[in-house]
Amino acid sequence: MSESEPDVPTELVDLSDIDIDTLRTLSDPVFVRSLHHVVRADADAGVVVVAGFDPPRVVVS
Amino acid sequence: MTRLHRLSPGQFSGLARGAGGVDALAVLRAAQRSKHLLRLRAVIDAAERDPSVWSAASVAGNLAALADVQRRAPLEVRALLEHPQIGAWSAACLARLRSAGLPPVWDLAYLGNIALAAAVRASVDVRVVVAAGPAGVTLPATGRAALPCAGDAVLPAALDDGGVLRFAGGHAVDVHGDPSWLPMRRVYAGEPPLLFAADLDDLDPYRDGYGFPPGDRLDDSAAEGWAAAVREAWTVLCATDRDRASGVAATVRSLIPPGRPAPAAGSSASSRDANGAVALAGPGRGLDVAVTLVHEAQHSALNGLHDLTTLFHPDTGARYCSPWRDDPRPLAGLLHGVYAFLAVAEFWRARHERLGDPAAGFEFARVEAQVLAAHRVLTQAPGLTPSGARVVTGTAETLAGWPRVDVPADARRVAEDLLTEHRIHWRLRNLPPSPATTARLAADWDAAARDATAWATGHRLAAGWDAGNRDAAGWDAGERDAAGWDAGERDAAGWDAADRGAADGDLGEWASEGRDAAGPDAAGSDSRDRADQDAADRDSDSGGGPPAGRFAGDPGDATRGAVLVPRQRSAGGTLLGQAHRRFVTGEPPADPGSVTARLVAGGYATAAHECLRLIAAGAADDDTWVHLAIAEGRRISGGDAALAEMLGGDGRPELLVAVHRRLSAAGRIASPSALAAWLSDAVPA
Repeated sequence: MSESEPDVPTELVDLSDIDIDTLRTLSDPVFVRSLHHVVRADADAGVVVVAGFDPPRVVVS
Repeated sequence: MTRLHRLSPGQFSGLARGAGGVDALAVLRAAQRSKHLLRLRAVIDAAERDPSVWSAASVAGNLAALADVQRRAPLEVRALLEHPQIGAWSAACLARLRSAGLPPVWDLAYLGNIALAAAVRASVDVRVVVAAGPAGVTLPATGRAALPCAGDAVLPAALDDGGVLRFAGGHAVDVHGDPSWLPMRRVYAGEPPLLFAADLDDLDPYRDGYGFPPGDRLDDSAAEGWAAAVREAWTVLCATDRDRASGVAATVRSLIPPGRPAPAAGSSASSRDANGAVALAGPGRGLDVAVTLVHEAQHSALNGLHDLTTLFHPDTGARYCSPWRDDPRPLAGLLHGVYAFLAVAEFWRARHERLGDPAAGFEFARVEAQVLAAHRVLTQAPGLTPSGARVVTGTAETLAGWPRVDVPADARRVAEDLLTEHRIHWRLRNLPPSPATTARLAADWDAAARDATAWATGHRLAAGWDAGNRDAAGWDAGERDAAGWDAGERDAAGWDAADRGAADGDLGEWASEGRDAAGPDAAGSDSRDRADQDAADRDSDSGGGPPAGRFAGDPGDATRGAVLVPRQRSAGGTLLGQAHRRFVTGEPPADPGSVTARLVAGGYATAAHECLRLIAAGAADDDTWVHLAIAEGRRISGGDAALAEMLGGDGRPELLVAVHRRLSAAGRIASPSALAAWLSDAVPA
């Protein structure tokens, strides 16, 4: 694998250096897109739970 | 302007191959913290839309308190916010805010519990409003103040003097020694650089999403039992695969004991919402716990990777047969199964190769066969994103890279038979033909059976099957004639010499091996049986997923998305149980004359004979047909080609069994062989 290969595209915004006060003010497009990604993923998983089949929200083995 | 988490190609490649290094797992952990903060922001945004709820739960004040603690003790807050139970709380709170139910004031007020937990951990004074329950006030990942509470309530609280919790009503609890303070227990095993540390969480109110109820507070003796089992597991894991142990240590943060009704021994679960938490049925043997930790750590890693870069599209409704589950599984479940059991197989391989554990050879063969079968389905399944496809490719590379493991041929043979057993059972359970189709085929068979032309043209209807319904002996004769079974086996001496001889020879060897091999592993074999029978997620009938509507099987008890599968077919007399007796514990077979014992011994002809006898007697259950399928598929000579084909990999065993049962219910017991041959002509592939 080449070192020059680009990073894998990710969908979660890095909030490592964000404090609680700042968290409430963020509104840039990267943040908003990531926020929607998390909320949508939760909702998708929730819908399937209601339908009776299990998504990997909970993986029981 | 914020930026996205970064995942290097090398980190992703390692994760895709099923074994991300510690640096890749650190990225996943940091991403979980970001995910929790994103959810917290979503919670705040949703709560703000309802001023009365916002006020009742003191959201603003609790946020200010958390921010204040963060300014004074940023590392404590950072560590707390990435804890699995913060994920569980934020997911539950957000889901309840979205639902049409009552406003979740209690859940929102729990933000005060989080702030207070951070304050306790940092010894920082703070004022908050907390959510209290009948057992008191629980502070996530920290402990519980056991207050007398009539029920759920929201009340003011504070931390004074760095360690004294004060609550409305004058209650005070010193976190340094007050018996009303129940600290979160931590389990430690090993030492740096291979140190395992996790909460033994019997307190958190959001630890209920695993398909079985969480347990109440453990007494000291029970807690020490868990700690001892984890220490033993850690010793086993470190001796087996130190790299895998590092991955487990970097992933698993919390262990959640079960409550009542107790789940089946060996059950375990992980949650997408609480990444890094593992719920498990009981401490069990160290070896079992080690396998469980490896397994569940993989689920957490894959969930974390999916959070970071989507691996599969939202559920399309397609369902697949997974070798570890009796219910039809979505693509995500199949991917999770492969990913988790890939690591389990590697664990057994390492144990077999490095420690010379012969029992591990069979375990490896069995799990490897399952993983390979499920992976074949994955490669053809639609619904993966490019990142998901790279995981499938990565796991394929890992599978292809495994060196040949020196496992006895008999162990591999039985491992494959167990896979067949599951596949046929799965089809019988989940792909039954419609009653209309079954009725039509039964009627057609009836008509054909009376059609002299059909008979003459070689549909191989059992000669005298009609008479056989009145006379079992007549059926027997018909079956033998029709299936050619008689040629190879009617001569009792013949099958006795070949089959029984082989079987007996194997059984003798088995008993001998059993005496030699029976050792420490002999005890507790059942739990390992159960652990792996169910430590699991299984195939589509044709490689593609049939639409959900085709499945008639009830997916089971769905509790917040969890489907618990009883750890069945692992008792001593089952095929898996017999296999474990032979290859794992070295015990002699349970009931040596049983079909399952004969299958394990390689006595396929006698096993088939017994299955056919049971079918002729109207005493067949699903197991009988499944074992007949295994036996017919294995017979090199003297078997029945039509029957083997209909019950085999490209056949439709569920159709044969359904039509046969329909005819039997009407008093006409058909020859399985003849019916299989007729169905193969009557029903297009």
